[in-house]
Amino acid sequence: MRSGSILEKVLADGKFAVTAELGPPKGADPQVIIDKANILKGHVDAVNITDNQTAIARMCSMAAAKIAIDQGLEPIMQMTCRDRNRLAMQADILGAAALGIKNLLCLTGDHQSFGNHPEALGVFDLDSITLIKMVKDMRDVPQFQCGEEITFAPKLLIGAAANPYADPFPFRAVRLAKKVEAGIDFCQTQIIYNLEKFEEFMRQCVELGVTERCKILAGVAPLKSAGMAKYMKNRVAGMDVPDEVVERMAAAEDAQSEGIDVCVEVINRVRDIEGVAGVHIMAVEWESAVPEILSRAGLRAGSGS
Amino acid sequence: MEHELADSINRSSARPITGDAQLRAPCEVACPIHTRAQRYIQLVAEGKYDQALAVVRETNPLPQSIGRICAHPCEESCRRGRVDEPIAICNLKRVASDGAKATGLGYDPPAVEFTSGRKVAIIGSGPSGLAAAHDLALMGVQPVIFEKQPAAGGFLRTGILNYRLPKNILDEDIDYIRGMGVEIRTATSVGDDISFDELASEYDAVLIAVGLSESRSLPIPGVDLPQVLLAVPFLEDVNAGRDIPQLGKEIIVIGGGNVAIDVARSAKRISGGKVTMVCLEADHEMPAHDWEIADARTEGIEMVCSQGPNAIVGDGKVEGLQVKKCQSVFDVNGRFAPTFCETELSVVPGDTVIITIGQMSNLSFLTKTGPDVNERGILIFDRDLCTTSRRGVFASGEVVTGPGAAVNALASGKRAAIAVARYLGVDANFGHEPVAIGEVPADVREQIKQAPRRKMPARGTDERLTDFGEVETGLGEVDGRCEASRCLLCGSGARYSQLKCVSCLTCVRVCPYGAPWADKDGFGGIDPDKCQACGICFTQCPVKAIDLTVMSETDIEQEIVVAMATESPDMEFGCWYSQSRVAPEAAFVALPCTSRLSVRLLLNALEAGAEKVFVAVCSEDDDGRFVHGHRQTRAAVEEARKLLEEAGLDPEKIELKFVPEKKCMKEA
Amino acid sequence: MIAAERKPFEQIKLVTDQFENILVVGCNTCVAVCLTGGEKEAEQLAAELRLQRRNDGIGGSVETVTVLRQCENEFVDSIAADVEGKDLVLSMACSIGPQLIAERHPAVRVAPAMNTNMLAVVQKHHVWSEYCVACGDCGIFNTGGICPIARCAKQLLNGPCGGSQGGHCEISAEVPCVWQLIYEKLATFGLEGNLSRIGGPKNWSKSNSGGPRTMKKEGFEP
Repeated sequence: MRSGSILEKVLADGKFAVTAELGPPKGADPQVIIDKANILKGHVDAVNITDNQTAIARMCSMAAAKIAIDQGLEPIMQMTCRDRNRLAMQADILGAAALGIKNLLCLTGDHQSFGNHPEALGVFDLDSITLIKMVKDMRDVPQFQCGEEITFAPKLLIGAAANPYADPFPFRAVRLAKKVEAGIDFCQTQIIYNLEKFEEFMRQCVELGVTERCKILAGVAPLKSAGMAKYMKNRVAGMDVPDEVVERMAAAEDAQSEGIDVCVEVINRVRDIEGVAGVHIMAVEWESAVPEILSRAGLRAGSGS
Repeated sequence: MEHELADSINRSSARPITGDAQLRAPCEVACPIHTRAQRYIQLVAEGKYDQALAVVRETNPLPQSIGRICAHPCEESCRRGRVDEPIAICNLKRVASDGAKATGLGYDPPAVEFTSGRKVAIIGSGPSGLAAAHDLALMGVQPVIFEKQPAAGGFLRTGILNYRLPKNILDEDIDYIRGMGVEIRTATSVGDDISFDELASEYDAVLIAVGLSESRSLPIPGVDLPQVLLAVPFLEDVNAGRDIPQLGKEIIVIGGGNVAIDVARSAKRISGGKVTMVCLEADHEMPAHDWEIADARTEGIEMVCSQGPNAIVGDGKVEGLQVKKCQSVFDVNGRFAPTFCETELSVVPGDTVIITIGQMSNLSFLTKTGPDVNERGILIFDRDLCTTSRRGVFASGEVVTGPGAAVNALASGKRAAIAVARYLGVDANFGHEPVAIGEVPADVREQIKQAPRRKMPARGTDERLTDFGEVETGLGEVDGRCEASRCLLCGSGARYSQLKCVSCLTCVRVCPYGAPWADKDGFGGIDPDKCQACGICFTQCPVKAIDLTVMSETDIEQEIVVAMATESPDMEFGCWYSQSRVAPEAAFVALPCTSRLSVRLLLNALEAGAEKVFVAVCSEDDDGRFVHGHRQTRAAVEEARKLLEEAGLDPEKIELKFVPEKKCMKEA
Repeated sequence: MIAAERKPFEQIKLVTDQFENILVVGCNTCVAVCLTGGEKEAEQLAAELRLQRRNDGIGGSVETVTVLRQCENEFVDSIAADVEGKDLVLSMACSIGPQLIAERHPAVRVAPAMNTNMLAVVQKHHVWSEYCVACGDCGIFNTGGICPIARCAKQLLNGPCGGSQGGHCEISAEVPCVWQLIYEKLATFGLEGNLSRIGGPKNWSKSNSGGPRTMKKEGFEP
């Protein structure tokens, strides 16, 4: 075992993994995390703790992850390159491992201009791929990025994100392969609505051997409204929401229910795609939807069914 | 009258040069025929005497003669004169012709074809007539010279003594011109043997270049005494080797000009007695050249200055010259108007008087059909077009310019040649007067290394007074090349292109002499007065906005190609002035200093095929010939070696070496 | 000016060795003024490459051409005839040059011969110092006309830090502490007290950190 995490075991056992997302609060109150953790606990194998998501300053992912651990929920700590240089990142990686965090998701991070501190300096000392390589070397060699030896290696399952809908499309699977080469154990994709394109992406991943070395969790999310569907279609970079989804949401009497229906349908479809090892449910600020989605999809933590 | 005429000398121009705004070296500008002295000096420095002589010949049809007797106004203007002493430009002309003669090169006259089908009669074979004939021949016009004396040369033959200009030297110069197909009919007097009108009808044009062949006399008592001689016949007799029985042992020469000096020195040699010169002018005003006066004094000739001749005393034979005190020679306008103190009289004792106060022309051959003379018997003449009042008749030389130096007569003759050629429909232009660069500014002068002028060796006084053999023996090779190395290369340095300049200020920062400048708008230039032609700015200019006027980048590139066409696999970049080589077997590319070698030129030498490139420097200090010159050379070599090394080539392919023996720019 | 310097020859050679006919393109503006990439340097590098390639038995040609500025479409377009038939263009401009050449001459491979270092002043002949990082939001009036963003190793707005000693920066005795200079400069106007006000934080959104920038002058389009 590389990390000894539950997620690693679920994936290693070939069970269909389920992860969700937990956004830390814009404040110092641990109770927010405790409450969200309690909603998700028992339903998912692990939960992503976001890192200043969309460049909005929040409680740090490491502290939030530690609180989640204390609640009996396994965290996937997210780490972006936007806000720290390699010194800070390595320090945080060592600290996270010391606190019992066992999964690390390596991201470049959204540009600071999207968030609430657009005047901030973007660090981007590393990018996601160089970060992955650094973490892998810290775990497996073990050494710091500079080449100096680490006496007590951080045991972390290394993850990354992948977006099948970004351009140029033929390069997306290749880029994921680069992340695999750099050292990831698993990845979570962008939210899937366009299944045809995702299927093609997965076919390429299989062809490239990515799926043999990396577990791919398909990203899914329940739409809350027709407006959200339109917004995600038109305004969020890297999203692909097909027209029929937008139309379905618009036509629905109960949009939230329809959104969950769509999400469940997507989950059921991706489960049949070769190489998909699980789902990652991004119910942003709608954590309560997760148990319902899972139950309607017939999934639960470590269920593998 | 003489002085009025003399004014025109300054306006006469000679060399048919094309329009060129480039500032010239002052020596070239001061030279009445604009000889490219700097160029021949450089070739002398390199020991390329035949090429140096060829440069002299570009403008000068009498190189050997003028190289001995020239009044060299070039040296007066030489900018080195303000640093220490002027370059011995005249002496170096002789080094060129002597050196070429020793190699047997440079004395074959060019084959000339008289393509125009036109013929010109030239009356007089003095320097002006010879120059006109020479240039006309080159322009395809056939000249025929008429000379009443038995031998050609005019005053150069009859007026200048052998000890200054040996007759065989003059003969060689004239033979060269004859060799070009110029016919000289000696002992043929126009007026006696052939009439002027005949000449005018037989030839397409006539040039009157008869000079000033008659001596002026003085309207004073005693002038009819038998021991009173006139300069021109005296000199003619001396030059012809005839006895002069009237000459005694205590000789008074009246006059203070260059001819008077020649007369005095000749009299000294013949008589072996005492010779005294008496002149109106004060010591410092004497019209003769300083060096002539000094030579005369060396030979024991005395000068009695500020005295005017009042009467020649003696009963039946000369016993002395009564003189009166001269208070001033010139009026406030600088005109010749002597004033005397009639009461302050004295007598200079002597048994012979030779009057040397000036000359005049003999135009008795002219007829009523013209050309016209004015009321004072002077030819009416257009200075610019060299024309007289009669169509097809031109004039040049002292007959129209008044007395002057031989080189001025050459200039006049050369201008007349162009005028005649144009009249005859031959394509020729008068050319533009070149413009000289200015003085070396004081701050730059201090940065220039001092190097004393090489003295012209001369025979000892005792020995030389025994005969009319040549007094000056020539600088010789080593001293000649050393002397040439003193040249400041005026106006040959940095040439700047505003168009290419990006105002990087590099030149401003690297020039040791402060020559480049730039203003806030990036407009700039390089002050030619300050530029010493070291080439440092050229090597460092990043955009090739600077090149060098002489030995430009293209010139050096061509020299590299030429050098690589030789057998030798190696190349040496060295200095024009070096008389020794660091790699005697290598093909040689000579520069004013290796300071103008850019890194690229060094690489180009290897590209051109050199196995090994040697770069010579003449001293271990930073400078060499120029301030920081060797620092630049060293930096370029180091950089080039670095580039070779990083490119995987042996850096030893370029090597800096010291010249084994530095001979130039040193104390004699 | 933009200060750039030539890459180590070893790096250049790695690229050029793969190509047969090469055009070295000089730039006669910034890199000419900083004496690293103008016409003369281009010719020099070409000569060096020719010697190296002859020595290493590599065929082909190395030619040069220089334009006034490689950051202008028109100048870059003007070398079309020189680029024709070349396998590689080696640009001696700042990194703008190779990018624009590649953009305007899409058929040819382009490589940089230079590393672009900084916006610099000429301290003295052959010495350049960084004075500006093009942050897009100049605030040097408050710092005595001295830029701490470009010239402080930590880009402090409230220096000097505890590492300032004897007028130099903690990173090197060669580097002056710019905050010491700022302090002294303001003191000459009796304004050192201004430094008790808290400076910053810096608005980085106008810098390259805010994303690639485009500058426009509106209203005078041809």
